[in-house]
Amino acid sequence: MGRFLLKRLGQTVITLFIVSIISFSLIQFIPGDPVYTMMGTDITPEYHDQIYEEMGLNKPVYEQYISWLVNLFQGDMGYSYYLRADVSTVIAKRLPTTLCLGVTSAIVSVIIGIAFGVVSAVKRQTLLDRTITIFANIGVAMPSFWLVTVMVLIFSINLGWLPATGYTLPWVDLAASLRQSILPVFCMSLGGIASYTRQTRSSMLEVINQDYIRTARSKGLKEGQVISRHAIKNGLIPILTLAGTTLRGCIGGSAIIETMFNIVGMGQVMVTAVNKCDYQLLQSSLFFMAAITCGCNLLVDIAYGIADPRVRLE
Amino acid sequence: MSNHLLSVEHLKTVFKTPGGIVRAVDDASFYVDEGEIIGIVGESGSGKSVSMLSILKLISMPPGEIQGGKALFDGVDMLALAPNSPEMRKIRGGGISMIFQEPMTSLNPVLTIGKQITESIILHLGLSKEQARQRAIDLLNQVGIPDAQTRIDYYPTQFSGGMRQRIMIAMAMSCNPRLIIADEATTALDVTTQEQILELLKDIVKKSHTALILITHNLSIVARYAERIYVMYAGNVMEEGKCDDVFEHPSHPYTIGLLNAAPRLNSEVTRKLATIPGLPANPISKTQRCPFFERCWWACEKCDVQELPSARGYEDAHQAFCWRDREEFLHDWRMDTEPIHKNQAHSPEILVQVQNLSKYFPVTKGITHRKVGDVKALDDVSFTIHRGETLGLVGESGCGKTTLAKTLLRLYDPSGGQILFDGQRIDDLPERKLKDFRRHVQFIFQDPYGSLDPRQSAGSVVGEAIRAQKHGLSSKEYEAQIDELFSMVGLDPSLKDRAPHEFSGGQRQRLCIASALASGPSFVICDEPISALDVSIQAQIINLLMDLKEQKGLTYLFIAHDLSVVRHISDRIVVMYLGKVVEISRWDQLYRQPLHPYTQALLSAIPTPDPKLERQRKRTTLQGEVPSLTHRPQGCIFHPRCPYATERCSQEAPEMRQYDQGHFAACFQIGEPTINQQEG
Repeated sequence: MGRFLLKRLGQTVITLFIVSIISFSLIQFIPGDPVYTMMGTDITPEYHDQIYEEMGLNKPVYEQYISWLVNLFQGDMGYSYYLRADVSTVIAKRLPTTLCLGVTSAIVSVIIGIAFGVVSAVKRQTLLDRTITIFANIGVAMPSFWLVTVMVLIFSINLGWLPATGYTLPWVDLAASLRQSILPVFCMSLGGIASYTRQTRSSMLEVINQDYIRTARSKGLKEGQVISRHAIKNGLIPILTLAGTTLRGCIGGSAIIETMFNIVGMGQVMVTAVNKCDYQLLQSSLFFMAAITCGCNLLVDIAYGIADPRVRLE
Repeated sequence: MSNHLLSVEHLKTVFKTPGGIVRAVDDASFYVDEGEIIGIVGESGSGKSVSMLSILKLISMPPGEIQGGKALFDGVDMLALAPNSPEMRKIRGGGISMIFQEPMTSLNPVLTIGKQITESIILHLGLSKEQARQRAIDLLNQVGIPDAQTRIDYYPTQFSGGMRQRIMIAMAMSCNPRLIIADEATTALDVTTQEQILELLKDIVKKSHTALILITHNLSIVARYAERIYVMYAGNVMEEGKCDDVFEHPSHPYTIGLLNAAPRLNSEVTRKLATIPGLPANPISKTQRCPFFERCWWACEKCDVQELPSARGYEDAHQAFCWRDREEFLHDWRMDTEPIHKNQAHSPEILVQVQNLSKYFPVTKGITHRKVGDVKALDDVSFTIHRGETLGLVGESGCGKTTLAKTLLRLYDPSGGQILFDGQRIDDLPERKLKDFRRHVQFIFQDPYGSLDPRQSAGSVVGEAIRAQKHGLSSKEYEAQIDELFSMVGLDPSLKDRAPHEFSGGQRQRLCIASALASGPSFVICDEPISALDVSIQAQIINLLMDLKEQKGLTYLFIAHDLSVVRHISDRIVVMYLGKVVEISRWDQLYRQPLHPYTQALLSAIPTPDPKLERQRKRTTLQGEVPSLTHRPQGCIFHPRCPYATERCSQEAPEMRQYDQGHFAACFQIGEPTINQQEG
């Protein structure tokens, strides 16, 4: 297991290095002058030159890259000219919101999705299974912007039960935070619940037909024990891949949900950075997200190793 | 009646499928007494496994349904119990345990074996965790798992197939059941491992006075181990009785057919196998008529009634479910078919010559794939095949049989040595020059299910080689050639538009043979061509291969793990072990006087379908398992398992030496050869 981890860690470092080069070279792909693209053409040439120098664009490319990388490791992620703040400050301010919403909806979708999937597989071909399957199919197919619109229309505008916009962190005001979380979390996790249900169902069905399940039954175990001790662990191994994707998604933030509920999180930052060509913000937050993605992949690999001895023993 | 430990009466299990109702078990009755070993023999689809799973209610319901019968275990009718009722769960594992066929998939890969064994001990014997663990360690020691104290915390993937089957036995024994059902428990294992496992099972049940039901398709296994046997076909019991009686006076045409279809190790002349004509009965369209009617040699108007035959009793509770008395159709059940003339036809001309052939696969390590060693899949292999000859190649899994076949075809490039085909070196030919060679050499694979393209019609699969090689053929000529190939392998040419999955296993193997013959080869490599087929179908395919050889003047390399089949079909035999040839001999010499200890052990591990002979045979049981190729022993590769090994064997590797005309072996312990060492 130790060697396996070490190997994966090494691969992660290599990946990050490649990602850092790609994020950095984005600036080379922006057509025209980066400063004019970012600030508009209304600025004076002196101001242009000043920013040009501030950003180190007059130095050779490799020097720019190295100083960017060095700064990055020292916690200096650059300056956002559009938001007029350090990128690290921006991320530090916005990440908690995204994390709170994301992690909550990830937990909700994993727990509910897996539960539905297991029940559906165990009670296969019954009315319960068919009902769950139909709803799961609808859930997967429903676009989230449509869902948000409908939910806001019903629960905020018509019934007036829940707020339509904004978000407060739970440690600031728990009650407000809960009320504000319900709609976005529901809208964010519905798709996840649906795909977890479908995946878990099919992987559990496959496991239930395996020989070792028959062996377990032939030992005289209760059906519940057969499922909980023998089937679930095997059935959840393929789900881990999906969990990795979810984890990434929730830390990266959902641009659609954040925009529609007017929640100021990471998703919005990325959208802003792209729209305004605020490329230091873009570069650094891109690298930050890629690092998190790699981290999540590593976590999934570790989880594979824990769940499946065949991976660990290789 | 009630004295039996388990008595099953008139069991009926059906599966309701979209294609129709499958009558998997149709009125089967059998019993087993305390401490008895019985065998249930039948081909696939005979209902032998389903009847066992039915009494434990382990079949999936729906689509399965038990429609009638009784299964009294210790006086309790198990069929009356609900599938997951506490009473049924007490019997499962506690009263009756099962060992399943596939040791690779029958254990849960994510739980340690200790957990899987102790689970049932805690459940049925009510021991504490520590006590259960101690018991599990004792059991593992009993079934011969070395170092059980530590290995109990290992996962199933860390054990070989044979070891896993030992673990399954430990698990089955763990709660002192009164009956163990071994469902094809050794089918997936090598012959020497099979022997070890069955001996172990027999010792354990005899010691603990546990009853054992051996379910198998292999008549020879029941001949060696069972006291009483049942022969099943298409969901019905066809014949039952004491093992000796059934083998000496088989009284049902089906049993007779099975016995004649199996090649024997002990016959002096090889005769063509007597095949059972036709295909196994279709359980969907099954009626109440005798299920064997369509395939029976002795069927008469008496049999053509819509009623299952009643039991006809012979000596000592021996009975057959046949409308006719055995005296009516049979005086000598051994059908004497025409003998096969071997060793005469083939010319002295050498078609294939293999000299010091080696194939190494590199072992790599780390991200850089640094080479750290070699897996020597083939090591210094030499032999010749004459034109018109069948060379048999035997050995257990991992001995390099398939690697050899693939290297001969140049699907692998050899690491060393030479291959000469028809006098021409082909081991160093560049890929583009191999086309002509490949037309002359064809391959028949083991698995007739996986080796046919499911998206082509049968005719197009067969015609592929014709299309590739003979250009300018009119479509009429092409179709005519395909029709001819179909008839040649005994298939109706009108079937050529069907998809491969519409054919049965035996028919598919015929398709594979037809497509191999399409290019008009002179040399055909058959890699375990019959091991995936039922006994009665195996005989048909073997006969077909032998007929084709005669008609077309083919030369075969016939690869198999089953020595009795190899002996039957071959003129000369090569025995391989861990990538090396250990013995080469004429077919009759090898059985009369096997020289190498490995050949001797291999021969003795194979049971014959004759219980009397089985009891007389002196047997040498091999210890241990085939080592992994990455840990090849020093010196003679066989010495760690060899009963005669000395100091010298562990240091020096023996050379091949000639002991009799054309009889070579590589062993120090045979003594000095008296014959002049020249090329044979």
